[in-house]
Amino acid sequence: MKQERSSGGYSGIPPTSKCLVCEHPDGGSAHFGSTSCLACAAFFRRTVSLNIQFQCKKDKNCVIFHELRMICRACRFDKCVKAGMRRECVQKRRSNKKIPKKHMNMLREDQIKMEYDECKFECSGDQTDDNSPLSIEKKSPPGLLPNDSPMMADFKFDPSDIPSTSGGSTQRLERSPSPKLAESKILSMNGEELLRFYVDQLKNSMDRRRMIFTDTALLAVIDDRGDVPFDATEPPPHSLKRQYESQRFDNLLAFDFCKCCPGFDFLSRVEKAIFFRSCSLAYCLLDIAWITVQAYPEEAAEPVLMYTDGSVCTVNNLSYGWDDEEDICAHDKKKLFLGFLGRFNDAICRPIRNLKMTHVEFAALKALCIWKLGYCEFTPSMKVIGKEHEEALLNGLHNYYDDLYGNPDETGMRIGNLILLMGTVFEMNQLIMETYKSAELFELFKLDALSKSLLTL
Amino acid sequence: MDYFLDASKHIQLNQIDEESSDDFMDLVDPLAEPCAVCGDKSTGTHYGVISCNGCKGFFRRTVLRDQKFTCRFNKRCVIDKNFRCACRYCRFQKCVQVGMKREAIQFERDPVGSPTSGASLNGTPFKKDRSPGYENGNSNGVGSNGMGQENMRTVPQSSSVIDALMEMEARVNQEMCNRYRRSQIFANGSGGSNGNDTDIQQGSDSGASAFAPPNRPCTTEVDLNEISRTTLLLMVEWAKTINPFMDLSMEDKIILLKNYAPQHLILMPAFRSPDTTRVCLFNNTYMTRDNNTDLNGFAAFKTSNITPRVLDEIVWPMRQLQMREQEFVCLKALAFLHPEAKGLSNSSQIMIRDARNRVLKALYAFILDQMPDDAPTRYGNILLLAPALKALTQLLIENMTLTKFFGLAEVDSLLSEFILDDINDHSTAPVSLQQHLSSPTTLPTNGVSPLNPAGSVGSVSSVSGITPTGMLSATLAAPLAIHPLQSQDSILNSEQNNHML
Repeated sequence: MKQERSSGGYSGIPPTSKCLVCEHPDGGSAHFGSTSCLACAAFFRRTVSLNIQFQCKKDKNCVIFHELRMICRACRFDKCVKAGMRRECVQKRRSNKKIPKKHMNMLREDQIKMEYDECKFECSGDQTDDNSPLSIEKKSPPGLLPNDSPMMADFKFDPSDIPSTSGGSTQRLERSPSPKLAESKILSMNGEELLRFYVDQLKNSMDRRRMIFTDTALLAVIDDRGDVPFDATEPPPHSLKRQYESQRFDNLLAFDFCKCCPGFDFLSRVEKAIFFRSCSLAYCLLDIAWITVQAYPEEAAEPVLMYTDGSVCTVNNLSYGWDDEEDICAHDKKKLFLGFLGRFNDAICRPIRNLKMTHVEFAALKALCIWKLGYCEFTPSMKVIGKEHEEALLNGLHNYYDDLYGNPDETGMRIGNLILLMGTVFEMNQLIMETYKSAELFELFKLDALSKSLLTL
Repeated sequence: MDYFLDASKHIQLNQIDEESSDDFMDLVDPLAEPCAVCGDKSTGTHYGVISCNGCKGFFRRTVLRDQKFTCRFNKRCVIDKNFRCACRYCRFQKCVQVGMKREAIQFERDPVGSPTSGASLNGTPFKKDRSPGYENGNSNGVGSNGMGQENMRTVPQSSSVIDALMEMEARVNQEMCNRYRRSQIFANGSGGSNGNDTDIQQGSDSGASAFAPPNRPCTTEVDLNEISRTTLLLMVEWAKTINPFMDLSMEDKIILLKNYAPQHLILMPAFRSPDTTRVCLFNNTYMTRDNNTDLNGFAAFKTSNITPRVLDEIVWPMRQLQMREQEFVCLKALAFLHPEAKGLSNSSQIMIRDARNRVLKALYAFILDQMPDDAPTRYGNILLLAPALKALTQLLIENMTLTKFFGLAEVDSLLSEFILDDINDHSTAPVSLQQHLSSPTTLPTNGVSPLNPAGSVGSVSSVSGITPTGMLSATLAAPLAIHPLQSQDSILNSEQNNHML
């Protein structure tokens, strides 16, 4: 520094400025649009990136001096702002590893909110950069005086960077507003717990089907079974009347699931209806595939589908099941359902058999389908909840496979096959919706009120 | 490091004094120009531009670590001495804009985070730097060097799968780049524009995929038709290189291509879109969320509803995950290798399932190696794009079927072959599709071969019956949101079911 001053060629460079915040005589350099020392710049950056709101215990008139700058942080921050420091010049935090625990939950909620508030601007992900802006600033020569700083007319003020304003006695951290409390409940459940919840729901639905549709109802009371309750020997033939009953019961199971699903009580009325439709499709359609595969582990020469009430029909020619009924004749049923049933068996039941899917995997697949199926109709807040469920499920599945196999190749392969199967499930959902719309339009058979409501949703 | 490149523009008048290397003033010409990026005092010419140490190091770190930044504002931030750290995206753009070249970075000599800072005080680096060494500006060499660095960190088994996919991706992008660069030259009416395009090109993972930024909105159906035809033809060439594809029978090949074609038309533009405000197409046009006014009346209905969904469900997760090209090529392969496609034979299903498992293992190993902490959620989130893609595909097929059935607009015959299901399932396979599958690959290994123009003409001529007027391309078709046509939709579905019976 001394040699720099002694050279005559740089007489135009202004001398070192003092910090405009704490008036430290030696520390002035350019930071966030103003001139300050490294300590005040770091203080400002921490306050902005962690979104902290300080409060002054006195009358907001404390003296900020470099010997006393840590006495009142609220006044120090105010002085930073008055000296010209801008919030938008602070870059986003690049790594969450060094955040103190007391700031972590608050920051995570803010991140979730900001990600969707700034939907038009891409959020930068966490990028590891060992050289922080401070080390770059250290190499900079002393900055110009503040009145020489250029105008920042092109910057737009980002409203999401404003800290949440709410009254509170806490000096450092504000309590979260009530909408964020809703999201923190979801975050309190980790991946394994959420996966266990879905597995329990699957077992519960199977036990209820045993109570209603089988002669071995007492087994559901005595043992905690949770397996598929139906027997493959001499099952009854499927009919449309039985389909009405089993579908109504499946919708009841979906209703029970909705009521105890984490995050459901935070949805609005329309969101609840959309979510219920996804659950209904999962319970009415995916469970058929699961029950079929469990009842018939090996595919026979004449493949068979078993419905959720234990009734059965052959897939290729409908020779067993779908007999003539008062409402609809066998010929019409073949026209409507034959193509769909064959495709359903090839596309969904066969892969589940080939994978030798366990009940944990099936529960995860069902949950991912529920949260992904109506995604395009979700509201932003619903998408946040769905995102939390998806990530928790992925982590839970990962831990499950690590315990089961311990081999990364096997883990990646099984998770991948499970997720890619969802595309086929979506295709089947589209197909069954079209079939029901055709049936309603031409009045081929009668739809109940709930199905009509779900179709027109 | 204060490595001063030998610049003819600034001849060092003062000799370097090793003992007083800390003496900052004696190393720089007092009359040197300010930094071209931020206006600070420059320390010489770095990577082809007069720049300061801060911007020099920033550019090198960004390129070596392959970092991608996003601007929180509107990409017009002021980059000067005081505010250069506020927005890294705009700073990097300005570095590239003023002429910094990534090829000038010497990967073996400029590691990021050198082990000891005292090494710079040794006399050896200064001696090396004084002698003007031959600067290898070959971008291919730099590209392979960078790829070599990345490959060293991956498992050998998985890297072979991903490398094959990446190589084919680079070739397809090169072919696409060549075709549209040639058309741009003709459009501009001069050969000099080629040089301008080269200068405008921004850095990216592979040089072949570098395009000029999209400069005009997609305004006509001809744009959509043109881009769709080229994309689909190159897709066939790409499919031929996927391992079990050529071993399948002709019927199974066609089934796989038909299953994948609409997904391809959505995936390729989505990966090129930098943000969630518009979808960038390959002929340097783009489509925004409310791109209604320019296309003619009916085409606007077809495309206006699906574009927001592509942006929200495909582009937005890609940008949020900051998806790498290796992950993208794996996602494409996984979408293509679909063993549950309707009508596949059992032997083909087994082969396709094995190939898909290989790609899944390679992708998981890659992600596990790159970022082991986030591997479960990142891997799952990338794969969750596939069901969303499938759902959008259903919409695309539904709208093209509606268009063709009611004769509302004439559908491109090539698109019809690739995307629409034949009503008569037992009819013979489309003729031109068979031709493409039978012909050998037309993508050359090294650049453009002299035979390529003839090959292109052959490809174009094989698509017969295409007329520019009255064409509707449903590249980004959407379901009808108009209420009077809702019943037609239902009637169409019932008609479909009747035909299937």
